[in-house]
Amino acid sequence: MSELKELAWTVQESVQPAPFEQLERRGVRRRRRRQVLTGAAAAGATVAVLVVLLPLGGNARSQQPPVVKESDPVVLSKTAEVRSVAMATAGDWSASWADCASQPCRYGATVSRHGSKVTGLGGALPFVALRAGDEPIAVAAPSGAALDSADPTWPETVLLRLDGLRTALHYAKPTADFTTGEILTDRLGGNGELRVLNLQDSTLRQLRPAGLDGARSPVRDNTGRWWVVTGKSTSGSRSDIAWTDDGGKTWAKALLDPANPGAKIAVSPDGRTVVASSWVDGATLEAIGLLRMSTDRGAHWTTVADKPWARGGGPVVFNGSAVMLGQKLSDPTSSLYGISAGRAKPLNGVPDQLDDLAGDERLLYGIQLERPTAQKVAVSTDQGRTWRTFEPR
Amino acid sequence: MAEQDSLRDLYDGCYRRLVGQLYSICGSLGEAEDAVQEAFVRAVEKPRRFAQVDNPEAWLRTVALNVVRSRFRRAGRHQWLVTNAMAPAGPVPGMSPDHVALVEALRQLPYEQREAITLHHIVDLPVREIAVQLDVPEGTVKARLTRGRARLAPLVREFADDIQEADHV
Repeated sequence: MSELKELAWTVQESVQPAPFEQLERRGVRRRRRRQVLTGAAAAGATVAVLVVLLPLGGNARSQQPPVVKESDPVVLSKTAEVRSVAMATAGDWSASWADCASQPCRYGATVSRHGSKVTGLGGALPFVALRAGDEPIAVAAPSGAALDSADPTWPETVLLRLDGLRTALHYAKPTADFTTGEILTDRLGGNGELRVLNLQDSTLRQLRPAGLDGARSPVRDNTGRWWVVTGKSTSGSRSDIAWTDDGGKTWAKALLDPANPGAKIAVSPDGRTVVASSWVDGATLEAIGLLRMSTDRGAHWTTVADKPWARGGGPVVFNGSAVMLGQKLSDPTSSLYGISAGRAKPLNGVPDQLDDLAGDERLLYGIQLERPTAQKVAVSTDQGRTWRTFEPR
Repeated sequence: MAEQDSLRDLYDGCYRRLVGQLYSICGSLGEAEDAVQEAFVRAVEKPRRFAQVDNPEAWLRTVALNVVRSRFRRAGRHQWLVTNAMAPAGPVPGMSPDHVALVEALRQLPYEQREAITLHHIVDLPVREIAVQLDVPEGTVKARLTRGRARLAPLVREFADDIQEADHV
């Protein structure tokens, strides 16, 4: 047992719990007080909801390009940090922001497309920046761990698009499959479970893919095929690379790692080159178990030699090769690694504190974790050789 | 009634464990107990919401952590450091000199690092779950863990081993 666990154990053994009835009385008293106050609070809440929702109504396409207002306190706040970013091109991106200088945190998002910008005020639910094909969007999903129609935060959810209505999301029942045009993601709550976002009817639902355990990191190539990696998030879990061409009705599989859960999968636009990694759970950084690569659309797989010790971001896959952020065990700074012909090798350094790596052959990007607050995104248009930064707001 | 019975079972089963986990963040037995008790009070206060929770112990730990964190922020970081530097570590019978030194070292860490170290190395949560729970990017959690482990390495064997291993590569 580690010294830290021994410490916790020693303390635990010395504690004499207070009688449960004392706490029960305190809780019941508070509950009664709250019930008395509920009527007054409801009236106040109605006004607050109207204030937040009214600016979000209307079709953005039919109006002048919206402009971020000085009065928006979250996205423009000096104490806000960028939490996620999704970029299609240098000018088409979405970013989510959080301001936690005071509690509770406040959240907002900005979507930029074709020279126009729109900002979502959000409120109490955090946004996540996503890409729907070439369209950057931002989504504030329900906060409950399980996707449940009774979740009281559904009315506060937001689907923020520049080209469409900004609407609340709606619950849909779990399914095992999905249709063309729907978006699979593991980033909208639920501790990374797969969820399906339908932009046509603004619904969100849980995906329960048949025969897959702990599917995550969904990614779609331009042929329409969706890829995931699987495995429970604990050491000793076998993981597979899985893919479907029929919207999840059937899945093909290849072994990723016999003893570690899957972490990340990325695919080239044409779907021929695929790179997937497994994760050695328990390591402080995301130590890589195995890094596997296919250049023939999943028919054959190679274990990549000379892999970095830990994954810092990516991989981002081009046609026939890939890059990723990696770390050596002996060096805490991330470097850009190139992956091709079954080998990984360090290429060059990257901006300090670059967190994660996403993009494509034309554009690589990642959030820069600068102190005291991360507000910049680092961008490269020459496959990682040079970088510039901008604030996505 | 059944709800309260199951909460009482939970209290019997996990109250002490949660206090042990929170102690490494608070450095004070009183603070840790207070935060965990507050979590149970809130569970009694909102029984329907608590009944829908998938993992009650995790929910209680999250609430207790939020209580500690908001007290820390309310008091201000400077005040927290002053208060905790002056106050002796909460009296815990049977604590060895090594543990006393470890508690002291934990109290010198920035709050966020202490929180990440506790959740990862005592509670055994994976990095991605900590990121979800604390609502920060995974990279932030990893950075906090790396810095915290480096500072605790002289007192924690497994952290020292990591550094030695790294030195030999």
